[in-house]
Amino acid sequence: MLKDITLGQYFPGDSVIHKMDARVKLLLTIAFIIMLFAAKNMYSLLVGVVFALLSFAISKIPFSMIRTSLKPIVPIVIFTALLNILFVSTGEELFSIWVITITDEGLDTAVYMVVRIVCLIIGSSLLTYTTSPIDLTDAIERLLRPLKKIKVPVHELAMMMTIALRFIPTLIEETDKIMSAQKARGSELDTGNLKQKVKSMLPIVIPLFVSSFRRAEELATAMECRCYHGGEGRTKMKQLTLTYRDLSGSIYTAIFIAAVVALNIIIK
Amino acid sequence: MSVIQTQELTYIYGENTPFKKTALDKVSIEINDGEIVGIIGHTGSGKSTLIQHFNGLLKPSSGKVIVDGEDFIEDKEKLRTVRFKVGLVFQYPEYQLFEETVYKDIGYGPKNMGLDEGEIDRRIHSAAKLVGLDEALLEKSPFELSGGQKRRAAIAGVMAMEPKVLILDEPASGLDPQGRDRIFEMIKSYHEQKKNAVLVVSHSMEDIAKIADRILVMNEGKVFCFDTPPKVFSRSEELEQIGLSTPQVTRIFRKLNEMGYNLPQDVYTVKYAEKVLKERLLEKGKV
Repeated sequence: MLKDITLGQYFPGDSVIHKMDARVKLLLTIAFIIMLFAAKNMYSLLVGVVFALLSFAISKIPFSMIRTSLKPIVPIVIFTALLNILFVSTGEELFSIWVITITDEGLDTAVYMVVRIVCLIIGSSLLTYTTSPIDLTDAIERLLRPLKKIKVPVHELAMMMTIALRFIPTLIEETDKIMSAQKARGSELDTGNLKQKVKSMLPIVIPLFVSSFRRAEELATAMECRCYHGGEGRTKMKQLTLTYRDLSGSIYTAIFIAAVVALNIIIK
Repeated sequence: MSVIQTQELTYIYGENTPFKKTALDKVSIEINDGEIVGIIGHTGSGKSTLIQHFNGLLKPSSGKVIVDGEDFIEDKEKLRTVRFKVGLVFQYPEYQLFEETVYKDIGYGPKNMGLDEGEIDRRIHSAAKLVGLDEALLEKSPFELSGGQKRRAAIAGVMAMEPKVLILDEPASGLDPQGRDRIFEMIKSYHEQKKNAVLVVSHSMEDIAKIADRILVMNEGKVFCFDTPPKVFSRSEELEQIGLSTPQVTRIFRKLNEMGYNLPQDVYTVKYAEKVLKERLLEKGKV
């Protein structure tokens, strides 16, 4: 039940996209997001959609995963669409009821926003599906390295993120175990009113807190025993290297960006 | 009479994902009332998955689980009563302690059963006695206890529900040899007093051999064999092939047999070995 959470879930595979350097993937994803918002007309937006779907196909991740990643944002999409339809008042009026006026521009923006958000989720979930969280934090650390000059603790932040990511599955598993253990003692987790529900969570939350503190302490000791003292002079076991894959991936993205820009200019 | 019965029980983890794994494959077993059953298997052989079916924590992908003559899976009301009939003690149960006092924590299960104060109190004291927890500890916070005491307090929490079947998953893991012995003695005395069925999961043959009436050996989600200890251990060579260690005495006796001494193959406890050897030596008139 808890294991169904697909929060940035890594989907192992050996496609070109899986093997690409995480830094490049991260930058290309950002480029893709910019591309989506730079697209000014229907045709250039369509290029963005094609890019997202084609990349998904290349990664060999089942298309059903798109649905899984889109599920949680459905309310946001509907909300944004409604907001645009109802409150954009420029453009030609289509019809109006009472105080609500619906214009063609409103409908247009609504469609654009929905397509953009959906593509944005597809693109970023493709990043998390094809990149293990550890690689991703590694990439973030490398990309943010220049910020060290202005005293941003980049390494420490990345380490915190790595540890947090590392412990998500562990804690989910632990929660699952504790829940099972308390259920075996007859606790009813999903019945009763709100107050009863909150109260029935205590037997799970307290042991979880206790064990999180224990784990944190153990991990800190283990790290100190291995002479961990922050990022200064620390080398990496896995060196990130750029290969022809990253180059071709970048060219592939660049072509699509060029197409978007071109279409923006040609079709006004 | 059987208390727990499974028919072609199959369970698949993560169906429809790339991590799909068949944890249980057509398991059909029967556990009788009042017996101690040891469940043994390699890590990932499906033993923990199997016991979680016995009180309805997991729903079979296919097949049936029948507890106390009832197929309970689809019925929510029955599911709850089954949880009280089959008490399940998880591995490292001390991590489930949460109440302010040991007394309250042991009383959590009985309270969920909806018993009255007097009965809950009686059960708490009797369970504490069964696991050998001092009365003085009952008013302490469970987090003040030592590791072994915590474990016993957690086991008491399940015993206090007075289940028909008590299941313990690796009850002695992480304890020192003395702690292990005490846990198994505790299980034995519980069984002698209550005469209820007890299922013990362990990967230590040595511990299981000491207490079990029958041993269920699991391998890769299937039942490898389910029989009395002498019969199970007479297949010691096969057991080692599937990665299970047999008791030391069994291995010694096998070696002795290979050396040409014609000794029984079903020796699995030191006590029994002593008896066999004494008889043999007496026969030869050397004692």
